[in-house]
Amino acid sequence: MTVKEYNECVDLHADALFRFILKNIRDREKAQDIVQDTFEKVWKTVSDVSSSNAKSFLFTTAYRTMIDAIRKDKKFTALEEHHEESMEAYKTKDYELKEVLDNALNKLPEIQRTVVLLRDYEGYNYKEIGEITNLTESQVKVYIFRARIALKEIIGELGLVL
Amino acid sequence: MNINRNNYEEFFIDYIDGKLTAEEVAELMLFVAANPDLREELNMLEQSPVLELAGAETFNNKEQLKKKEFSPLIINEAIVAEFEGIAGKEDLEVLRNIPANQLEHERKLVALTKFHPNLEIVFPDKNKLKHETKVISLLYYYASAAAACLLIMFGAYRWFNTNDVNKNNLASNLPKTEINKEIIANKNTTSTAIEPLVKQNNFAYNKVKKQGAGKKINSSTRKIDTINNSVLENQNMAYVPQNKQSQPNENNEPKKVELENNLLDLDKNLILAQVPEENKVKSITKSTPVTPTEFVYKNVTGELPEEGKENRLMNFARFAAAGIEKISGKQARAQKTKKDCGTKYNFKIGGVEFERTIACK
Repeated sequence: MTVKEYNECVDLHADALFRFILKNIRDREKAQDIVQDTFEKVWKTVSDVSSSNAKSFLFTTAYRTMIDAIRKDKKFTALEEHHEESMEAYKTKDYELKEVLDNALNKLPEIQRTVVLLRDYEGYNYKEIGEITNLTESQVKVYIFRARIALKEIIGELGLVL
Repeated sequence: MNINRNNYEEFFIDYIDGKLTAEEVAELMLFVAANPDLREELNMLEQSPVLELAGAETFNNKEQLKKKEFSPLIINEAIVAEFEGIAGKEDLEVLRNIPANQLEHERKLVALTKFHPNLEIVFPDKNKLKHETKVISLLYYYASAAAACLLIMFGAYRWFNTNDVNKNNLASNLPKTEINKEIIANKNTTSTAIEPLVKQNNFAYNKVKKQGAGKKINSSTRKIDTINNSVLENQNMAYVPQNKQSQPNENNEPKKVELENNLLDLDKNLILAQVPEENKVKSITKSTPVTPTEFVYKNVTGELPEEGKENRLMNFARFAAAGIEKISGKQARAQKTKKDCGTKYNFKIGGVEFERTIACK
């Protein structure tokens, strides 16, 4: 990539990357740091990356950087445990569907959450998701299926009026 | 059984179907006898063809009408597969066996599990992630390349010229008297060894840079000779025509040659002495004096000054002789520095610099 193409990548993908990371780790500052680290890592090897596969390269790098950050910080694990209890509250009071979905997403295991977001936010197919997350196509399919079924069950349990 | 005109038709059909007992049949006949107008209707029913019962026929594909039962997990997988767009034959089979209202409900639930990005969430200050695009004009490259070539060429020219001069000026290890002869005898004489004499006589020879915008001194044509200090000091250098004794002038006197002062004795005045053409010295001996001016001129240009020709170098020598400690000019500079024990003289003439320190006596 040339410098110009790199800067174009920033304009095209920085927001999507930020949303993806933010949805996963739910910490705005951390998400910004991860996005910055991601672009710096890409910059270091900018001459080896073509503009056509820059997006997948960015998401791959961002995912790995995010995983490293999550493993270092145990705070995120504590947040997920907290959500177990809060889900019960939704059964007895008014709630918005979006809020329910967000919390349901947070209840998912990290890998399921990641693959679902890559699928829904960016429209990647199973093979592409596998390349980003270092999984096989079958594994991706299984994780997505499990995530959707789990989310469906949660929504169904709450007795949402459709 | 109570047969009357309101319900007799039912009994008539039972009678035709053979469903009445003997007593019921007798009772029915008594009723018909009592109502002769109904006899004709009964006769008509008895005469119509009897349809056979269809009890023997069966529906062959009843299994196809049945619905299979699937576990909730399989149903969920089929619905998710349909949502993901990868439903296979088995998934479609499952979906066919789900009641329509239930299927619709499940489909809506799965559709809710799809997340949509909130486009209002953006990365703040994307410019921090960018790197500067350096626009380098090709013209810059070309200009730089051209300048570099010119620099290299100029440097090479100067280097080779310097080497030529140094080569010409390298001296052999000739005895001092022989060196002196060479200095005066031939303007094309190559210079004697500078360094040994320099070290020996406290004399330094440096080539200075071209000064200002003055006339460029072509060092290749300037023959730089060494100055033999011992000759100056001990022999009071001067020059006299070689054939002076044999060819006197009309007054039978040798052309007067002004006594030169020791060039390095700047406390005394220098007198410019004109040397006739025919008296150009070919060699120098211990007793032949030369004017300091001529000495300087000779050492700079490699030849004696032309008669009657003003020479800037002459002016320099005159000024230097007047005891002025420092003179700077376009092509000449002289500087005298007093030291604790001795005086240091530095001359720069036409791009050539030489100096000498005279120790205290």
